[in-house]
Amino acid sequence: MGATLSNLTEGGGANGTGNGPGLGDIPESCVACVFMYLTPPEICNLARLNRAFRGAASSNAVWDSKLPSNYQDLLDLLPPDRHLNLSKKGIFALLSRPIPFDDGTKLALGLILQEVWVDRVTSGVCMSISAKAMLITGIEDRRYWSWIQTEESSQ
Amino acid sequence: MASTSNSTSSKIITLRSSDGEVFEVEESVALESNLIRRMMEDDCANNIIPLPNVTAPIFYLVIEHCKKHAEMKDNKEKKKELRSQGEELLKSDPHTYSNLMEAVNYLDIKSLMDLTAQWLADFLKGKSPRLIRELLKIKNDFTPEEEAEILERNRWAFD
Repeated sequence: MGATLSNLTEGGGANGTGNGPGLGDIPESCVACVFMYLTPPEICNLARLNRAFRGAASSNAVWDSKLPSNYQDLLDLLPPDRHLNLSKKGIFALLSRPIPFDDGTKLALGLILQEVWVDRVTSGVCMSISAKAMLITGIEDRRYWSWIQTEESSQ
Repeated sequence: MASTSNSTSSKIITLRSSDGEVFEVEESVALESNLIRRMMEDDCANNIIPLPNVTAPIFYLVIEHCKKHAEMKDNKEKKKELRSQGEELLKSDPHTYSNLMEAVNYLDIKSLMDLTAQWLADFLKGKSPRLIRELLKIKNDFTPEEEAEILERNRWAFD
């Protein structure tokens, strides 16, 4: 075992400089391992590098690791035809947009009071609940509670 | 061969690279590879183990990394040293780096796969595809139409 890493690097450097081959022939399975350490926006950016990177950027194994463990619960909030034939990447893209959810009645009236989505960078599940959707004891008692319109109010 | 392993496991394993070079490696180092482990469990423990997908220079690199990785446990300085050597290799000779990753993947050495993947991931972070292609000598093998399609399909991630 006479060779050390450094003198091999120098030797290899000679064919690495100039127009020699680079990282382009890296196998797709290796790129998939690299993607385990990157966020979804970074992966989507790198899909443009070459075919191996594009292939890995569509791999179900990669996106399985980015989806939150309870992603099926989020899918259940959507009509099945919107996600039945999607890849794992397609599912992530779908869940990264806010999904309104409710008991149905308020949604039918066009009021979006609660939304859930997956954060594109951290893969965390996020939820937004409007104050009107909360059940608060004594909320009807005008002595203690009143609704104040602000610029950010949705209705 | 310098001995860094514990004295109880000094058994030597003989391996042959694709270009015919024969290597004698301590069992403790060789067993980092799940592929070699499986082959030994099967039957060829007493024979020379062939590695048809790994050339001698790349196998040297793998062994070197395996040894350093064994040394670096609980040693922050060694860890840093190995990391900077890995980054240096990636920058000076991305082709060999790619071959190293391919060999590590083939030999199924989990610890090294995680390390080399993480070094590359850290290098790629925050860089544009154009800059990465230039630094790592990656040929753009897409037609302009394909590139436009990839951009369109991934737009959701950047909105």
